[in-house]
Amino acid sequence: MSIYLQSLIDGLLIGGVYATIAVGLSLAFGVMRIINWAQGELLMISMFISYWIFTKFGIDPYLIIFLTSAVMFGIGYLLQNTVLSNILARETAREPVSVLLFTAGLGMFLSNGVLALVGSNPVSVITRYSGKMIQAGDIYISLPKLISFVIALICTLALYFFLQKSEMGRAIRATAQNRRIATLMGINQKKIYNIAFGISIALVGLSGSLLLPYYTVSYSIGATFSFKSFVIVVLGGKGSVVGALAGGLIVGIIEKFGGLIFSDTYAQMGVFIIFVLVLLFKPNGLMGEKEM
Amino acid sequence: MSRNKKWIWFGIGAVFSITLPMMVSNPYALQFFINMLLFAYLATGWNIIGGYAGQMALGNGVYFGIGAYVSTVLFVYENLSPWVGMVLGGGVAAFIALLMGRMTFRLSGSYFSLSTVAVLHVIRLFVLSSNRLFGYETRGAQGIYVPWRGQSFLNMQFEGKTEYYYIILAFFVIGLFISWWIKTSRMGYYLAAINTNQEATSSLGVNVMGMKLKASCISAFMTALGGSFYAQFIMMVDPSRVLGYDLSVQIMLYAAIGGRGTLAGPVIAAFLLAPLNDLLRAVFGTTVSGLSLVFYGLALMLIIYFIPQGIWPYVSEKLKEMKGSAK
Repeated sequence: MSIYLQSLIDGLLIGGVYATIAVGLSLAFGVMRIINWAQGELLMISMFISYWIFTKFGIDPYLIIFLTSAVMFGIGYLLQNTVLSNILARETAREPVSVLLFTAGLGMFLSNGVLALVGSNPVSVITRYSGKMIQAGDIYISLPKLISFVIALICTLALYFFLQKSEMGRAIRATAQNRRIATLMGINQKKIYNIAFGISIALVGLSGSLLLPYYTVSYSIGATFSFKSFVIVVLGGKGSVVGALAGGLIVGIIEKFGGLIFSDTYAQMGVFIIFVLVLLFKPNGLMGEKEM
Repeated sequence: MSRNKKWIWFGIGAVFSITLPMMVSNPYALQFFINMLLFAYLATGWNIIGGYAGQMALGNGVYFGIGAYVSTVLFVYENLSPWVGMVLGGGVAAFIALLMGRMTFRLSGSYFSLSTVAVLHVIRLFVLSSNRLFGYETRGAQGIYVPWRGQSFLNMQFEGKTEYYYIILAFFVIGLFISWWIKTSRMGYYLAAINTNQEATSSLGVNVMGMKLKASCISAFMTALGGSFYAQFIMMVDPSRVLGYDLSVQIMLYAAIGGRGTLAGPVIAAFLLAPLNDLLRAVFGTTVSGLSLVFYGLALMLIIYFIPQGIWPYVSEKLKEMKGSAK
């Protein structure tokens, strides 16, 4: 019995970080109707930045989160402000294909750029708390996973309240619902897009530092994470923070349980199959709202 | 361009491509051209569903892999000629495209793209984790080596590269002809209409689902044949080579850079970009792996930013303008 409880906890802990990555994707998808195909590759970049800072300066990864999220916010903001906004302006379709192509190119550029620069060897860090466990009965909880989970959860909830309560958050949600009417209400759409995309990439930056203490990073992990985030966004319904949080936890649990009962590969396949099924039967997500 | 001029260009191209192996004796150099033709062929196949019909399929690599695996398994274990095997593989690929399409063509835009990638991953992981598939030993990640059974056309095995060159040249010419035929036929106009406005097309009485399925099956069949050829050419199949996500993106990328929905665009982009991989490897050696993909990614970003319709539509428009001003 305890082995199942152990898997459940492990799944929840990794799922919390998945959720944070996916919330960013979901926000961009909800507000700008664009899919950032390079989400996972930007995560990989953030992990490498964290790795580099940790090995060079010995700063704790949990302190690096401030830096990575700020830097990645800037990258996201600039990318949207200078490049993506111009591509979007030309598009008439509701779901711009050219942004998808552009970010697919960006992803390819980043992952293979890292491959060319640092090679294909995976790297990981050893911190003071690496391998530390908290024992509760038969259950062992990895300390870094727990810390990362808690920070991820706090940040996701903070984003939720920011979107619900703050003036800026309300403006972002209004733009997501109907960009034309939001513009008529005096909301600066360009600024909202910049900030929304900045937040989206900042969450990826944050997650990169959170994953580093217990996750091995190599140039190729981006695609996997991109896809997991897509799955989570589809499960949760685009634009929904709570949905993405639930989706992230669900995917984490499926992975761990699938790995326990079958094998890791089958668990991965299970995630993709569930994804296709949800797309087909509940295209607005398990808790998504109906399209307007 | 006048009709006569077009035939002259066509003649030059035909003479050049047929006599090429006589001019190029270095097998390594010939491999450049084989790669170019293979990717031009694959991008042309993708263009039918992704360009003409505008369905952003990102998992076309799955058909490539199916073609490669079916013909190879039948050749290795049943001693069946790859020529027969590749038709069977194409049939399997078309059938899967049909099943997939029935389910996923209802989805819009990005969701459709995502579902094609999901199916690619499911099949890749399935092959990767299975030692046996349908009773045949496929050995998971290790893959299968194609045994040498002596030079013969029936075995599609040759000592030199010249024969392979002619085979892929024939594939390419036939593929281009199919693409041209679709584009200029009634089907091409229907697909273009679907690409522009699906709802309006449907309301005019066009069977949108049927058209998309037809385009998808043709595209899958062509891609699978390319996979079979590739497996015979490199004499092995494994999931990372023939079922990779990068391969799928690469196929799509040539068409997107050259010009989606044009006949010549994907071909031109493949001719320009496909040799880059071999070229960089020749210059830098294998130590700098992934460098060509860095350039491909960069090229895609630049093209989408500056000329989103692709190279060929842009160039042909500029040529027309120049002619107009010269008169």
